[in-house]
Amino acid sequence: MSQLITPVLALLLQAEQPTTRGGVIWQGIQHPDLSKFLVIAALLFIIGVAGVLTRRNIIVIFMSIELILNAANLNFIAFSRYLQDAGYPNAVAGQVFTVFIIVVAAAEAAIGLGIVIALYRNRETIFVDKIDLLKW
Amino acid sequence: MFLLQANTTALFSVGELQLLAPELILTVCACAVLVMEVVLPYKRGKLTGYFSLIAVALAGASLFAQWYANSYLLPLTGFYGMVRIDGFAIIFKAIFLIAAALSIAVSLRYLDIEGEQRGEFYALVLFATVGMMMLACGYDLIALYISLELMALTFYVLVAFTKRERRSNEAGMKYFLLGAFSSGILLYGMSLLFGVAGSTNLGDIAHKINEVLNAPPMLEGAPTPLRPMLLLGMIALAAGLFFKIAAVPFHMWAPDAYEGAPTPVTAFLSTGSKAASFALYMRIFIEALGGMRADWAPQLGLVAAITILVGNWAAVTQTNAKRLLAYSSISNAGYLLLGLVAGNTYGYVGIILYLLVYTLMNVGAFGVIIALHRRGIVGDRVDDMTGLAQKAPGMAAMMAIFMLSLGGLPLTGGFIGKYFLFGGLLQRGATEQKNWYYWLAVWAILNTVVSFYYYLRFVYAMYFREQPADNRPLALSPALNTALVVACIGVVFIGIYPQPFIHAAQALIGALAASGVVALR
Amino acid sequence: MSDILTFIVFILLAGLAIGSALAMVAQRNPLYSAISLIGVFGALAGLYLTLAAPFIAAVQIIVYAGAIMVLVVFVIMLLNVEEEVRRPVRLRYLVPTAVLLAAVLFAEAAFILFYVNDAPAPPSPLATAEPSTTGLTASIGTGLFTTYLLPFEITSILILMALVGAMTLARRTAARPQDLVVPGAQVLPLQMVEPARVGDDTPVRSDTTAEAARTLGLNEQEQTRE
Repeated sequence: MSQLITPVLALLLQAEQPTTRGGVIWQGIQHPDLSKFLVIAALLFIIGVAGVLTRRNIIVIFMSIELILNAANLNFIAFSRYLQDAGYPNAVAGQVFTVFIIVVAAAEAAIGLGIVIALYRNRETIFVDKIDLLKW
Repeated sequence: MFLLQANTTALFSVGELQLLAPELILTVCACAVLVMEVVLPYKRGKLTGYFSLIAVALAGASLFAQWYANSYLLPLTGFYGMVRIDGFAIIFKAIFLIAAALSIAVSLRYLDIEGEQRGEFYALVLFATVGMMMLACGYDLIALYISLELMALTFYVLVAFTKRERRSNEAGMKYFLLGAFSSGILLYGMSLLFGVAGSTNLGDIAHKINEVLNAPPMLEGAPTPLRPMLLLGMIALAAGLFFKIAAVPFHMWAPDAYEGAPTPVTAFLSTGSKAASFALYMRIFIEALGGMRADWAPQLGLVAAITILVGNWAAVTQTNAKRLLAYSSISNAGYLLLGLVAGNTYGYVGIILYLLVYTLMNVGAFGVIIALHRRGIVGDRVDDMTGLAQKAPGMAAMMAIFMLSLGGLPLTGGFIGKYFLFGGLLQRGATEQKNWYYWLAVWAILNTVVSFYYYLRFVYAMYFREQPADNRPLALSPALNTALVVACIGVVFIGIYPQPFIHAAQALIGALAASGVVALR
Repeated sequence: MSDILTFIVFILLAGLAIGSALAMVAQRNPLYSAISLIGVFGALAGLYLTLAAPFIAAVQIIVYAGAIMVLVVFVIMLLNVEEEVRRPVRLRYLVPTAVLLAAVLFAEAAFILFYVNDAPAPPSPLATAEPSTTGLTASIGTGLFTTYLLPFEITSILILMALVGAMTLARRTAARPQDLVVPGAQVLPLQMVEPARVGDDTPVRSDTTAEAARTLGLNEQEQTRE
């Protein structure tokens, strides 16, 4: 855990050197570089997690999961771009991974919605808190 | 082969196909099962089940041939580094095949009773087995992810398979939502790992991580630049995998999915899926993230300790046998994690042996529950075991052996597995001079004592209660009986004469332990 | 100048993505949520274009916004779902805590991800003038059919499995036939064989389906469901 906190301290300590670090966040926004895409992906990820945890409609929960997958996709594409610029030979892996994720998402949608339909036939509800035969 | 050649360079060779012979056999047979389902009339539906048993046996034979032919040449790689056949892969594949064969055998009669004797069931079981086996031999994040999803998606369908049962629907729904959620988290971790390493190959990742960890810090006292992101990725990966193995902060899906699923699927889910998730865990955390052991071992130890505690204590109050075994399965995930915390040959041998024994005894226990399930009788409460010793002494004796082995009584297979898991922990404590390893072992042993209480509840109900729960005869079938007897003999045999299994596990897993030690520096 | 333009495009697309995502989670009507999600997908496709990944952008629109979301919307319409009623929050005092924790988590993640910029190993992106080629269809295709051939093949199994599974789950079947004879050898209680012997559970063995059917007094036609 200390590994996660020390960079914060390091940045605070360095804030006195305005040449390199003072505008690090502004620089990050200004240039089409990696970080801002990663931050957008992180935001999408957190919104998706929040959706999964707070919503009760099964279909909306499913859509929130799609949001999480898209956050990962954005990461992969951003990294792929960045790694290619940095001269890594395997940068295309990120793009290929994204293709596979989209395929899996489609298969997952088919199966998930199949389960929803089977459930709805028996229970006439798609709200998780009414699905209570098993202790939730 | 002609068609596969583009620009005179073959995309892959026949030799590479041989690496995947067991998976190919299973895939082809699964497709054949799908055709048989259409051709055969409903009454002959069971034939597809027997056919899939033959398929698993064929795959097992080809796996054995692979091992026999190459026992000194391992590891073999193929498909541009996507696949790595080493001892680790072979022994895990053997465990998956055993789990699949036993699960198919116990499901034949169950599906008849449920009126769901459909060939798709066996095809799905075979597809799930293919996914697990690819998971054991995949050596690239992309291949691992696709294999994991193949297994997971199949299990979502299998859990909801008896679709006229509301409990099965609900279990399928919950398992689907939480499973897809955990896959998303896992994927996010993989994306960060890819970003740090610049490659999806596990070997490249391990190499790059060691580079990152050893890079000089930019600023005095600050960590190396990519390290925080690596930690974030590792935490996301661990969280996703904790879901898959049902370790404690993320275990809530297990009791519901286990209780609601058709019992043969529960048996397969609790053994095959768990073993496959452990294979993935070991591949990623030992081979790719082995250099970060100092970061993940304490975290894993804490999770294991809490998992053991929660699993064992929650099981005590359960009345439903499947739910009770689900909590027992959670606590067993904790025990298995101890082998990873130990991270030495002892621990890895313990994981392999315990997974093998766990497969036998858990499918056996669920098999007995299946025998109690007859038309109109659910038979999955602990009380339904009452008086089983009078009605079916052999069945009761086997159930008692499975339960005592789950508890870890000496002379049963469960004891051998736990012995190695705890022994590995003590050994690691001795080499690293850290006390928390000892405390963890003591903690695990204390909780094992608690677990005897609820395992013995089954024995008490079977032997010491007078009134049988009902007089209707058990739902037996030749396949079920055979599976139970095989599982029982296996558990007892490993308990009494474990040496050949220990030697085989050491021989096959030794390379992994060596790689872990190298990365530890 | 182009820097500022790129920046504006990024802000617009990112804002659209985040805004739509928030709307998706906040909407009570699942249909509005689905449409918001399509907004997220569209915005992300735009972001992929700025990242020189035109193929993924197209696939994102065609498969995600097209196929998957149509499936979702179809199911929503099929099930005729009503709006979700806001449930009273039982643990009200936990809400600020949750928001705070989420903010801290996000801040930490954002910080870690910004920190990546300081990584010395790769040179500054955009420093190299040559355009990115990894995102082009040709390079992805080459990757799919050489290095990533095996995952590609596993995907075919996955899709076959999904097809079979979805059909298994969604196919409508007849109600369970209660008086159907279980095929194969079995043991039946006597009371099922002879209705006069109510409560007598003496087991009666029968070795074949036909025999079981006879003892149960069913004729051959009634035995089978299909």
